[in-house]
Amino acid sequence: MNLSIRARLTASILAVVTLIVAFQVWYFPQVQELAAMEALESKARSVTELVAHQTSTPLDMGYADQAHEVLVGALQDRDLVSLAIYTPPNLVFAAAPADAPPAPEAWPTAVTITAEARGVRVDVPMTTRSGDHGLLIARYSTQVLANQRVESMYQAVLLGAMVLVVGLLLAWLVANSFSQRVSVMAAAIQTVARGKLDVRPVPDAEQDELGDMARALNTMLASLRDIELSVQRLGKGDLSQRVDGVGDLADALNRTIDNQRELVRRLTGTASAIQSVAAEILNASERQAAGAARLASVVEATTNRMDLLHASGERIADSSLAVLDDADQTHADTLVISSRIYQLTAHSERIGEILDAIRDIANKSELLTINAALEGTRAGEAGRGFSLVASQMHRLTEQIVGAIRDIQDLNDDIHGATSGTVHATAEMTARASSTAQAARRIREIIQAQADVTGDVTTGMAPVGGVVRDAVTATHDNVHAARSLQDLSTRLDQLVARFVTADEGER
Amino acid sequence: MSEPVEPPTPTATYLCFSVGRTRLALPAPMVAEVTPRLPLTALPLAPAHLLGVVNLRGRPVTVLDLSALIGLGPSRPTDLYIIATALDMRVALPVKRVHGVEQAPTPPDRPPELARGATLLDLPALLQQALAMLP
Repeated sequence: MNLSIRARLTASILAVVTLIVAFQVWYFPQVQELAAMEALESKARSVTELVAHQTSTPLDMGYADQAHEVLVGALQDRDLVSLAIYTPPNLVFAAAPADAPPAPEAWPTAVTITAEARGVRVDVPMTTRSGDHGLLIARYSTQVLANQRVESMYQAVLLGAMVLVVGLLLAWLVANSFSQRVSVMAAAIQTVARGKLDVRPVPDAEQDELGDMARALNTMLASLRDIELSVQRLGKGDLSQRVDGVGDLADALNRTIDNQRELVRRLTGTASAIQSVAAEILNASERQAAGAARLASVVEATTNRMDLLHASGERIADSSLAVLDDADQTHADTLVISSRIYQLTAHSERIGEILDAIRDIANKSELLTINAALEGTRAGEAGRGFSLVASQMHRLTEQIVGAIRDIQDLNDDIHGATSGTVHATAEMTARASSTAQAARRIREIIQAQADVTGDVTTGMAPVGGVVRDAVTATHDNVHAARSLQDLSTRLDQLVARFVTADEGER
Repeated sequence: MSEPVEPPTPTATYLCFSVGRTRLALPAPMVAEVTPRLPLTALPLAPAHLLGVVNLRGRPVTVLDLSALIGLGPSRPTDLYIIATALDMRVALPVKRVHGVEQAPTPPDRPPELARGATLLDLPALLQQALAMLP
């Protein structure tokens, strides 16, 4: 690239110089030749007209010698090759040198200049005062002009060569200088491009565009170094800084820092929240694990108890069958007892009626004995025996009445007892019936319960498996929660390594 | 029951009965008979001790309230009537209970010694009193 710039600059300058030299070599001799040609023609016209004027009198007079002298004198001019004066019809009046070419067939009526090979011919018609006509022809050589042209070309080539050499040298030097400065900056930029900012400032003393460029580069390097320092501090977690300077990069970095600060703030909040949540989860998991362990023990105990309960239920079912039989038997017995008690009550009532009749008879007998005794008394001494018997009979009837009263009391007791017993027996019958029904229901319920406890006992086995799985799962949970807590603590420590603006103000 | 009758002490026969809780006795010759309770017909405008009349085998018999007459208060309905005769009058006396006929020694100067503290009624005096109380 360096070579390329250098070469391009040199080549450009060389091309320009070459063009200039070529133009000079090609153009300036021509211009000079044209100017010289014009000057030659002008000089030829004026010289020829002067010669024509000076020779008009000799021509008029016919003095050829004088004309010849004038012509020879005019030949002092190096450019003038030959002079000849013609008179009609094509006679040579005077010529210098003597070997004059013949006159042309048609004479011009005015001064004409005609270019010839390696020269110019000037024809000047001459009119004498006597009216004689003549024609002066002067021939000029362009040899000097050609020589001058060649010389001038040589000079131009030489000058061009010198200019070319000097220009090339200067171009090389200038291009080299530019190229060196540019290459220094290019090296710095390449180093930066490779990602290294450890670059010395480039020389920027020159007050030109490259100097401006170098200063801008140095400013850019300084800004980049500041940003690198900021990024390094940012990398160490310092979020409290602000990157000085303007520009998209600084703005983007500041925005990044702001975003990271916000992110760290949220992360801090999130980390603490996760920590507290992890603590809660751990606590809950431990409680859950403890609960699961208790549940497992409870389930085991329940399983054992359910087994016992099942066995007991089976025995109770067997016993309830016997209870049901007993209850049925009791019910039948109470029915028998009830019917007997009813019979007894009826008998007792019948006895009461009979006793009433007997008592009535006894009372009447008592009155009879009293009246009999009274009758005996009225009979006097004769009725004494009768009265005696009547008194005895009265005693007997009194005893009978007493006995009847006792019997009646006993019968009343029996009747009261039997009526109470009837009531109790009715209740007993009803209770025996309900007891039998209850025993039947108990039997059914116990059978159903035995079935259910059997099912439950059968179903407790998978429950135990599930609970054991749950215990394992809760242990896993506790482990995971502890890991989560460790992770959250580490996250909190990681987040705490960031220095945010709040902490920076502290 | 036969009791030995000693000649030195004359004996008499008595009918013992109870009015309320009071044991009383009448001489047996005064008593015609002992009857069960008879349908009582109350007498209008009669005094309190004259309970009414009963029909004894077609004969009307006056019923006296013995309890009221001897100052024991009005009697309660009873099951037995004693038909007695005094002053040529037949009266019915409602009594609670009749204990029986007994013989008791009867000294001339003292009241008879009746069993279990029975009191001998002076029926003629009571009748006099009742008649005196009639309007």
